[in-house]
Amino acid sequence: MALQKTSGAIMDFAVSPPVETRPVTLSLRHIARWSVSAFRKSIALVLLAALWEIAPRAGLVDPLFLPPLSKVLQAVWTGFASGQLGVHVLASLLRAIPGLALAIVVGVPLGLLLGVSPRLHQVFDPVLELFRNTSALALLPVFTLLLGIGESSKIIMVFYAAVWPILLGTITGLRGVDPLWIKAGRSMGLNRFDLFRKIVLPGAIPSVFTGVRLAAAAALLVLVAAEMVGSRAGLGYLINASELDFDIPGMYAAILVLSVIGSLTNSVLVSVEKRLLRWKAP
Amino acid sequence: MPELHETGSAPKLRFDHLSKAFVSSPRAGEPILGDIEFDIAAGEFVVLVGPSGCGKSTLLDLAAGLTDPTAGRVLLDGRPVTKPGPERSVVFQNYALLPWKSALENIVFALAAAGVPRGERHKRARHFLDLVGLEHAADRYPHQLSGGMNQRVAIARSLSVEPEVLLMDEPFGALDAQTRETLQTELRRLWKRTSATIIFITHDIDEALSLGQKVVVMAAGPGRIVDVVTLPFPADASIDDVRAHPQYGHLRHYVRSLLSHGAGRA
Ligand SMILES: Nc1ncnc2c1ncn2[C@@H]1O[C@H](COP(=O)(O)OP(=O)(O)O)[C@@H](O)[C@H]1O
Ligand SMILES: [Mg+2]
Repeated sequence: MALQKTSGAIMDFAVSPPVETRPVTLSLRHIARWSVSAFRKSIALVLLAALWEIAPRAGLVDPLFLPPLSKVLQAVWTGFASGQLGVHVLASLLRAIPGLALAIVVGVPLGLLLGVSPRLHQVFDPVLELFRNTSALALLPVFTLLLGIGESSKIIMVFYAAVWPILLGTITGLRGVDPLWIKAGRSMGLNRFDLFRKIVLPGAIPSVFTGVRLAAAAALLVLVAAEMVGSRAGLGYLINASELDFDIPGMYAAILVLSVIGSLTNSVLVSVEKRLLRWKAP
Repeated sequence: MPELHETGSAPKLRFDHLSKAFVSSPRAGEPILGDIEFDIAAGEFVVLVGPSGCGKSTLLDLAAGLTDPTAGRVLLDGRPVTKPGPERSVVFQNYALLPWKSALENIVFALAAAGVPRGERHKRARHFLDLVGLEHAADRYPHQLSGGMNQRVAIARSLSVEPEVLLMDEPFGALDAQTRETLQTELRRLWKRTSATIIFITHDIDEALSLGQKVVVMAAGPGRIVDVVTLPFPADASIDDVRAHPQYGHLRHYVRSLLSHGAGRA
């Protein structure tokens, strides 16, 4: 071995600047900072809630068309208590989740394939661009024609809406892999398979995940539209059906539940994304 | 500390009528490097200096086994280089650390790639971080470290696999003057304490003259060696001593004129 003499004396690489150690304990300052940020984040929400409560009561809008928030919350409560709302939430989730999962299972490998082969990408890029820019909403009737109004047709619609962001995120992720990392890996003697597994893939993951997050939002959007057009269950159906029944608080309850599900999904995915990206400069 | 299988004056590394042309280059087929002929002895510290684009990095890639020669061979201990190997380690100008791995994990990664047993990797990685004065930064990510610190991690990573040949491609080029001088001094100390053979690329004349034992001056069009200057400075001289040496100014002038002369002909 060439460098065995190095053990022993420790060299003084002199001017290393002192590094602050990360605080482990939760100090009072941290709690204070967290409260301030939580307060800032909730101001607008609280104002919106207040406006929603007051405007109908004050007669600024017709309470028949926009019931006060408390009435809507009450409808949410009774909806879940009777089991009605839960059934529709479940119906929507059982379409959104398989559709999204399918989009990940198809989109990520396909994106990897197109990302590593510039030639394949060149061949398929025009078709991809065309499909990507064809709104899934515009294709709703086509899907209905071809697949009927059953569950599989809804799942395929979700899949269609979700697969593009995932495909793009994966391709972008592979493009973002620095050739220098690969050169370094090659100089360490890694073979092609290990280069891909240990350098290309981890380098691409954050962007893949951004694609998944965008896909989740797209999936919900298309699903609601599909459920409104032709379905007997799901939140989209419930929104439409409540309106037709003139159960306006019920309609708003379904919309509110939908927004909350969308926001929660997004914030969970954002926080996972942040964890994945913690190595990137802020 | 020469390896046992080496006989007398056999070179550690030999560039044997080496030529390289890139098919994809704008001047397709025209050699980037033409008939390079040069020997490096075991334990030697050689600095390559030349204008940008003259093929220094290409020469280093050939020695690293990252690219194949168009003609000729690179011989390591008499055997042709065909691919990268753990007995050669590269330090790149832009560190080439994996940003999703901490300083320690980056070194562990290289040790794993070099086939070091799992149980040994962490201990060895810590030892080499220690060696470059970064034991306190083991858990930090590259974006949390300064350029100089990142390059120390990269140097520690290269040293950790205990290579026989260290190939350094303008490793200090992106650093500020003060950090650069610190690292130059440390690199000289590391080299003196080890038997590593070092090829160090720079385009900075002062760096070329104060780091190693020999300066190989290159010119472009096609990339070639115009002269090899053996430096008269004692091996244990500090960089300051070297720069204060009575012959330093003369040598600097000479290398400078070689560089501008070569550029004129290109
Ligand atoms: N992979 C490549 N394909 C085509 N041309 C290349 C490639 N790598 C380097 N070159 C060309 O070879 C020449 C020498 O490059 P390089 O070895 O990087 O020079 P230096 O390191 O001395 O600045 C440059 O003109 C560069 O454009
Ligand atoms: Mg270069």
